[in-house]
Amino acid sequence: MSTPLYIGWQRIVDGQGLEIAFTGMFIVFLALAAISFCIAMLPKVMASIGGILPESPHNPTESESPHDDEAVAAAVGFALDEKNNNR
Amino acid sequence: MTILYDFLSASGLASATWGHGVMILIGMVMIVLAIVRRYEPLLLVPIGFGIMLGNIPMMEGDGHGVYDEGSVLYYIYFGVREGIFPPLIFLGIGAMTDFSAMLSNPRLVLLGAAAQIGIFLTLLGAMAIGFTPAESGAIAIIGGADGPTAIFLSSKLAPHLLSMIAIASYSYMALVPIIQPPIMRLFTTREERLIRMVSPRTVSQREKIIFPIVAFIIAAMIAPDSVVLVGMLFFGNLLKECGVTERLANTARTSMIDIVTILLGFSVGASTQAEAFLSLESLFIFALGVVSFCIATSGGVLFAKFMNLFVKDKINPLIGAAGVSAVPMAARVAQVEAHREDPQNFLLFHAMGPNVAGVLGSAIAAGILWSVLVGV
Repeated sequence: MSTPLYIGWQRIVDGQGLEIAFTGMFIVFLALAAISFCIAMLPKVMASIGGILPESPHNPTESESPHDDEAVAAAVGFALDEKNNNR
Repeated sequence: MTILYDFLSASGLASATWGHGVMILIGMVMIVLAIVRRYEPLLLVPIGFGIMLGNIPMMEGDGHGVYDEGSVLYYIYFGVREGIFPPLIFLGIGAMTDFSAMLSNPRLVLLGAAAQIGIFLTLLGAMAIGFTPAESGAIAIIGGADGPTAIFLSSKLAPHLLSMIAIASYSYMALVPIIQPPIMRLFTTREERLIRMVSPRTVSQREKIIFPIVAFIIAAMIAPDSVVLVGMLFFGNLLKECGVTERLANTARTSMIDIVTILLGFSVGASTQAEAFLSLESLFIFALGVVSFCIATSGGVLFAKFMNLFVKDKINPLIGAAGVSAVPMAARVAQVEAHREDPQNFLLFHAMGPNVAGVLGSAIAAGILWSVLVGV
């Protein structure tokens, strides 16, 4: 039993498994910790730029969405079609 | 009579082996699980049917299979083989993901990092068993519980294991409600499971718009090889949140992701060949996959308990299990487990934080493994 265990350990050592695992885990933590830190800072940044760039009072999706454009275009098209048919 | 004999000898029945039968049965089981038990039906139905199709015995030279150059399936499988489909799926996931839960409680992001320990410990296990470092990396990513990431990485590191890794990954994602709860209960006390978390703050629309840009730059700078997956994820999210590209976001999260899911699931299923699939190697892959999943789950739960040693507003450790990706299944499991102890405890929103962080963590882990192990 000790031989296969030894062989397994040797394979990990030869393949630099420990280095890859530790470094990989460290980088994942570093990246997500950095993102977490930036998220935590976001409200403060928002507050500080709030005076310069106030948040838009309206949501663009409510009045300027492409769906609305399409609806307007469809309505215009329908009206023109009706007008042409009446001539 | 000769014509009839020739026809029968050229039929699938004549060249069928027990392996084909077993694989067709596996395909049927997946379809039944999807339809009857509702386990990830959008994935298991295409994969299950693909497995059945891929294991209909064909005569040499028929050229209809996934690996036969020029066949229809060959071209569909191209998207899997070359790692094209997974980033497109990430685009759709980004366009349907609401990061509010994560933004309202940023410390929960760390749970998504902790759960990635399953990937890196399984890497060591696979190496010890005798897989090459590249194969080990591809197998280990199963612990990320993210099918597209697993397919993407295995297409780069170990294409010959892709079908086994993909099936293992999607199977375990579907089995999250069965695999995770015993581990969650094992590592938590009843008192911990009863913890009610404080209500999160409201996140402004502007924060939601800035987040994908900032997070993308950070993740891409720290782990550049994750740029394909992470970039598509955050690009999709920006389409969703910016408010001026609703049509694009809508296409990405509906038609596009559905089309890619069909093509990916079906062709991955069809790529399973009885001769390669029914082997000792795939048994090891499935075993390592479940170990990876269990370690990832326990890693998230234990790290939540560790964080509770330092924080004032306690975290319910059950949401640590949602640090494995499997969105939103893992978050739902955390909710169900909490609900079992206290019907008035609603953890779903809190669990979505580590859940989406897990997607990010597994994509970064995949990028790291790709950069370190490719060509090894």
